[in-house]
Amino acid sequence: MTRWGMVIDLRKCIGCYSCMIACKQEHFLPPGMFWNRVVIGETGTYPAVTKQMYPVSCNHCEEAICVKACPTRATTRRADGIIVIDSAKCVGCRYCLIACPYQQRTFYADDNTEYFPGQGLTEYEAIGKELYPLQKGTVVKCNFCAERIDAGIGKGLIPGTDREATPACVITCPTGARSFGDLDDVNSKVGALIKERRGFQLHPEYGTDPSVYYIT
Amino acid sequence: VTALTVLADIFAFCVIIYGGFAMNYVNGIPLWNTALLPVLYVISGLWGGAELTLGISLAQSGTMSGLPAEEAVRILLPGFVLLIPVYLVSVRYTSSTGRASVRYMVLGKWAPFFWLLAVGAGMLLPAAAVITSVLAGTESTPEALLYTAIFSGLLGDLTTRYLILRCGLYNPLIPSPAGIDVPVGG
Repeated sequence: MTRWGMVIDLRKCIGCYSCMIACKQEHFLPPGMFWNRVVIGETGTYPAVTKQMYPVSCNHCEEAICVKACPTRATTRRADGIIVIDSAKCVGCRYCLIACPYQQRTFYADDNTEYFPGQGLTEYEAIGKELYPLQKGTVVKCNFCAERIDAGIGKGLIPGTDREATPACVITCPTGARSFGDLDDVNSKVGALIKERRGFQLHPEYGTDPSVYYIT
Repeated sequence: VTALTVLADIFAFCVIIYGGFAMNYVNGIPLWNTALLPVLYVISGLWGGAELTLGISLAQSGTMSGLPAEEAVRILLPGFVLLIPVYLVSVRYTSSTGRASVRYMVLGKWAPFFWLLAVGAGMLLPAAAVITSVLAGTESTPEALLYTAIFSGLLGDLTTRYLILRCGLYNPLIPSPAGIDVPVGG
């Protein structure tokens, strides 16, 4: 069984925000909405200050709390481990948004936002509304670029190896900090990285078993 | 007692317990993710309901003496008053976020609401009315005090619930060696 997952090398991440922008472009996200974020934190006191860059997005948890919390079963876990939201079923109660301990969900409240307020939609926004329409009043989040994965597999490509079948944030990262692949395949690149570099998940104490691992 | 009343009672109880259990499920917020929260919500719901029943009874018939709700209030009030500090102290020792949430409620921005409305109006005033009614008898207790206690009790109950919702802080998303998470960007 395939379980898509991601490994992020924190030593390689330089906090350039390319992944955030790539995700935004890929899904034509409106102003102010990010499915992929880079959280930058500082620890210590001067002169021994450490800057930490943590790219975060939906963790596509094996034991996803959002799936259990959704009263209408709009949030589901696919057979390949990707957590998706059916906007036709979502009633916008936002319980999943609160229940997600990683705070990686966004409520799409207003579909009238424009990148240049009062000047109408740009060509990019107009295309986006046709190609990737978001349903107003529903919860949205990262979907591991499921549409790229599905289309790529349909063409016989391998996600994580072939660019066309790999999430946008992974192929855009200029330092190659992100790797994507099948977590259930011990011989895959992600499996090897987790094993060799002792990959860790965010908040394993929640028992959610995220599909996004970090290595340092 | 009709079948409809029984059905209504069952559904009312479900409504009372739902909130606590739904919030308890959110494991990223220590203030909510405690086994005491559903209990607190049940006690709080019953306490508010009993007060409302007494208020309506007092307004309609001018008396509330001998009503089951009167006895219920006398039992629920001490339970509610004792449960709040137990709940807050238990959350305080769960994690640093739990401690921050409690501090946010009790000493931080929401402290005036907590001490004046939740504690003062929601616990002390009703406690004064209950003690007076126990010592002097319900019939001898001034009606104004009873009305004030019922109103302030409901206000305090709702404030307590609001504060629990409002002061629930998430655990920091990213781990930090120093235990401090200071996001500066992203």
